[in-house]
Amino acid sequence: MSVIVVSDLHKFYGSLHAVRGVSFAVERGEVFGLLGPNGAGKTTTIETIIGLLRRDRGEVTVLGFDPEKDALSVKSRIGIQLQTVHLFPRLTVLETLKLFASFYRRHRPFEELLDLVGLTEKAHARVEKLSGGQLKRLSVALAFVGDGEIFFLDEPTSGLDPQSRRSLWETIGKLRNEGKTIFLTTHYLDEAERLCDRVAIIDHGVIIALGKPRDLIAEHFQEKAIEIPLADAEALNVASLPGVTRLQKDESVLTVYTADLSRTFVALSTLAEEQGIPLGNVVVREATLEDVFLRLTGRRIRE
Amino acid sequence: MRVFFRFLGAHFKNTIRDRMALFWFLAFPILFVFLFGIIFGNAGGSWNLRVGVAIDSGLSFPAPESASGVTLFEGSREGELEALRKGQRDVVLALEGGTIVLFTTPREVEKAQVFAKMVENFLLKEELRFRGLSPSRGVEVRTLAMPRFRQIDYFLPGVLAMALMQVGLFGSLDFVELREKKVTRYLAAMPLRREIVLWSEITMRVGIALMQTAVVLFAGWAFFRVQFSGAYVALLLWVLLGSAVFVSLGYFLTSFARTVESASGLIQMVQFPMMFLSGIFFPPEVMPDSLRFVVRLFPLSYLGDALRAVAVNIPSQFGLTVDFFVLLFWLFGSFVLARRFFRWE
Repeated sequence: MSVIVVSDLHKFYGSLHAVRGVSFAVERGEVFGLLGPNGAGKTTTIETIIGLLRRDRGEVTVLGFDPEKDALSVKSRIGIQLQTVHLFPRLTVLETLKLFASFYRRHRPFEELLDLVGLTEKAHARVEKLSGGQLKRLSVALAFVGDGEIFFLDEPTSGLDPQSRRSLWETIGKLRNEGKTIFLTTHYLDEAERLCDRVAIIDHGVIIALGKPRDLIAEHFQEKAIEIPLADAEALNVASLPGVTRLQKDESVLTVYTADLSRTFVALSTLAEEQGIPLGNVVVREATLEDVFLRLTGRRIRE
Repeated sequence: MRVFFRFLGAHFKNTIRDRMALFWFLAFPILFVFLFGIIFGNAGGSWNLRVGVAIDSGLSFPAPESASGVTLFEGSREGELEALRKGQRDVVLALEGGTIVLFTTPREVEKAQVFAKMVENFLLKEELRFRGLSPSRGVEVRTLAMPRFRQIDYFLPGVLAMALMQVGLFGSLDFVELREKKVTRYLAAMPLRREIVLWSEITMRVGIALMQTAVVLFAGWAFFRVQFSGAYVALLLWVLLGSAVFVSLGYFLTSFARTVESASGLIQMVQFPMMFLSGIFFPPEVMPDSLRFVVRLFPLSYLGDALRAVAVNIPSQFGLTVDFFVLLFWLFGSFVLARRFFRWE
């Protein structure tokens, strides 16, 4: 059953066409990721879905309601974490949770929430005294406080240290096991790959790929990838190597996709030895969503 | 309602945990009471003696220019006595059944007695002889039955009016901050009516105004024995009206500002002239004529006037009815404008 249905969504900021005809559906109980570089239209899309921005064209339903016409029905059944977290600076973490809990008919226990986001020790600290990462985790806890059916998380892990990121992934997994739906945006490919059941890749306001991460990779690549620093690659005629299917060049790295890794790599090392070029900086890896994005846009997703 | 009270609590905690806000809203007025109280509290006011001469009682005062430190006013008996009640004269001179009577307030009795001797010995000898009165009958000093008030009595309600203005105007910066930091936008994504956020904040602000009232009056009583008239209900109503005026004015002014800094500048532009030109710290008589009309423009003048009347029984300068309608007009005007220009984001 689809809990979020978006079809042909458009949003303009003046003359800027920020979202250009986005369509997708999110099923109950899945973790759905909207993946794309900064400025691709992720935040605009999420804010339009929850009714914070008015859409200019298209249809949106959340749990069967139109968020513009039936705002309260939607808002009371979802939890939202927005990118910018600014709260009453001189309230404590626990007071803030209690304040937000009062907006909903029922709420998750505060101890559990604090534990989920690792803020138990900071329960009585003022919000103004929190670090950036702690503030981010508090905002995630506020999304969960109302115990909604769908959680919207806008870049929940950006600015978090690796440990907090991993623990948030666990939290999201736990909520999925409870049957909650999670809609999140991210520009971390590894996060999308590990965390999301399905991803939509968005660029310049258009969805360029949609599906399970594994399927997306398989659809575009049966190959393995060899990354060679650009400076080294220039001296080598890698296109002529056996098994090479495609080359992808970006600012610093040449990525060689090969259908037959062992033959390509043996040939590459022979070639490198002849030219006297060390291969110490060469990386061999599986194809990832990063490659999918690179292939579809010719750019890497991260700045 | 549950959400309203949660927000009320949140606003309240957020404000009283801000040391700067506490200083400006509560400590600053007390400091003001203290400083001005020490400067003016027990001094006898100006040395200049303001003498009203009731010319309709058949008295003409000779040599008006001859005495330095004496300013003469001439007018009808009733008019001069009224001026005396308002504190615009120190002594009023009248002729009553062959006796020269000096009317004065309890506060100025000593001055009047000195002045009576002066009148008797030097200035009036000619006048008395001319009228065939016996100088030996002397000059009578009579005090008007009116409550005694000192400069600090005049000043204290002014500090209260100033404090109410501070909370009303500067308090609205909190909302600008919520707007600037997009808290209001964030709350728009929550299942609640946003109006609750605003009204709970306004309620909190009025609560602080009441706290200020208690604190200022207590400070006046504790440090300088300023006697509160005891008119609780009247005082409460005037305080509520006054703080409503300045809260609306604050929201109106800050709706034009994007950031806390610009809002703060905007408010200071309004607040400073009002503070010093509203006659809340000294009677408008001490101001040059050219500025007196300004006094009549500001709502703070009328609030101070009314608070003086209800809190410490100092006769109202404009009349309480005028005070009421002027404040009501300001409330209505700024409320309408605040609604018109209000922005959530």
